[in-house]
Amino acid sequence: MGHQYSAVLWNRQKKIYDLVLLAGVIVYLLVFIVVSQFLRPEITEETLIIRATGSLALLMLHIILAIGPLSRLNNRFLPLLYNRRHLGVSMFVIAAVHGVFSILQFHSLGNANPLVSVFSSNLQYNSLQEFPFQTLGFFALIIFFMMAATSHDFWLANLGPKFWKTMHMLVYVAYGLIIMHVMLGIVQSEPSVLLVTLLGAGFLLIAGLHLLAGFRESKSDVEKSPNQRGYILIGQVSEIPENAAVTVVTNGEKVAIFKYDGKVSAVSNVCKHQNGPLGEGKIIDGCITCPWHGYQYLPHDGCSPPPFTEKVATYDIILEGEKVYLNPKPYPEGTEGKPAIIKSTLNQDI
Amino acid sequence: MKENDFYVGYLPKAPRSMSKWLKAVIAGLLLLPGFVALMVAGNQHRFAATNFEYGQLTELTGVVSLEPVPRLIVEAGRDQRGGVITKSVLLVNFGKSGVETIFRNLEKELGRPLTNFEFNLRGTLIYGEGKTVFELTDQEASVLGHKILDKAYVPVKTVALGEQSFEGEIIDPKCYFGVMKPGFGKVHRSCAIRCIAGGISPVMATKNENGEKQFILLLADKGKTKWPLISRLAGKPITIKGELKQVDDWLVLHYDDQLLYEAASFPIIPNESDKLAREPKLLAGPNALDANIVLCN
Repeated sequence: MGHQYSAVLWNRQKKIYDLVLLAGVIVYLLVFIVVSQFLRPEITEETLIIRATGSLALLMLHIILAIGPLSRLNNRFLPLLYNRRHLGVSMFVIAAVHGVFSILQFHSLGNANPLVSVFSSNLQYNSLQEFPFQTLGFFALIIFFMMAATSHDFWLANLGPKFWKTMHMLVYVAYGLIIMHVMLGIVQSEPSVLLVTLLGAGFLLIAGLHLLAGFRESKSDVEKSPNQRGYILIGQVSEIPENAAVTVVTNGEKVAIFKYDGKVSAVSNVCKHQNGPLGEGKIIDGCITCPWHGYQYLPHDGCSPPPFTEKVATYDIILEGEKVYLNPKPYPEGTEGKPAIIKSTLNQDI
Repeated sequence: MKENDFYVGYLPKAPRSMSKWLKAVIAGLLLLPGFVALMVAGNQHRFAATNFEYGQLTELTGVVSLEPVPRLIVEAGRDQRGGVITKSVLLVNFGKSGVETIFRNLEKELGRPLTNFEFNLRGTLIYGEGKTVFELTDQEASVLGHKILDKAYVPVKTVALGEQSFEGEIIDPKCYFGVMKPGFGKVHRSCAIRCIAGGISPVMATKNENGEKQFILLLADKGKTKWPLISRLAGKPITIKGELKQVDDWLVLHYDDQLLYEAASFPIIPNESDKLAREPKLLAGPNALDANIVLCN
């Protein structure tokens, strides 16, 4: 929602987040190096770097992929989502160290261009067992690079939220490539029950969390049809928490109905920033505040407060006694609508 | 969601209940890397006790022979009767390449077979598993000097051991005996392919009937290894049949190209560089990188 872009809009939370991230990276590398040197003193520095960074990047990727569904399942994980892009960019940097060292170690100083060598040394693409696993890691690294390079609101605004989001969903393709890269590489070369168990547990955790979050969301996403007069009954006004929202699905779109200051307003549930769920947000300083990154919209017209320019669609809300009705026809984004006033609307005729 | 459980990062302070929760999550997140690192690092297989004296240059003196593969024959001691005990030190170049070009050019310059000279070489020692490899780290400049011998060197021992079959893995001796750990297996495969395609002599790592490790130099039937072709069999289990010979302190297997490829567990489709290897006249083609190695042979 930044009007002018800076590399990082630092705040206290981001600094704490990055310090914890840095501490985690240091702890991992230190433990890996010390344990390797102690138990396997013959290890070379190159192998140590390649293995430490590769396994760390994989662990970070699991954490990154777990944060999304965890936040959907429990709001208290949301602060981990807030600055996830720093985690993502750090993961790319560490994965890049792994990738570059591997290419230098295994492919440089030979009779072919190192990048050509990655694809042409082992040509058994027709065999799963003998498959050149390094190519899988290479393509995953390209995806991580694209994501890290565009991991800024400047690119989000210029590429458009839809394209940006679709591109960043490639992380799941990269995850699949990495799992195969590890299985057909180090696991095949140094068979280990522990590695397979860790990798399997990680995969099951990520898949399970996504399925659980999806299942829970699909249960709450029951589509409601309008009545004869074209309105959808949302429920009792008392069922909407103060300064928060309930959501309803109509015409395939999710709508967030907020109660605040004795009024009820409805806006599209989808934040313009990264498609965050506005209905899980709160009214802060008179603005609907997205739980993911704090983007804000005025509830009556769906506009971000000046100087920001994001807009979401608005809807008509009508109260009949205690009952809240929604007109499922959206107004164009940023259109000012009259909020329904609680109590004064008791006798309103629909 | 509880009233106090809403927080976005730019707000000054998280609600107390959330703050407590986050501290517990952060503690867990800091324990997790330590735990995973401990598990993964502690689970690594043992590495070979081989050595690469990186950054430490050594001078060696001996006779250079390009037969059966480039090697430096050095004096390793004397036997009880005072006879010289020699050791063959395999010669490799800096990076993933062989040294044959360097010594073929030198031979042309000297106008006599290399075995008529004693050379003083400077490079980096690679050793382990009873074998020694010497990297000419400064390439041509690694040849510090030479002096003519009274009589040309002839192999101390050349014994024909008949047709034999071996099961094992084709490795590149430079990586296997110290430069890389591990210097074998699937993870290292593409590097072994690159090293052998670059002219480093392929070696079969196998075991003898007593289960002891055994290393055999591989040479194609006509005495010339087709580097690009055999390199593709590196880093995987394979069986090779051929005529075994003992040449000084190395076993050498002269294999039949065709038999080798039939024994491979996967089809080898020769690509352009292999065709070039068979037809040296076409060397100016697009795969000149691989083809140049053939020129060097």
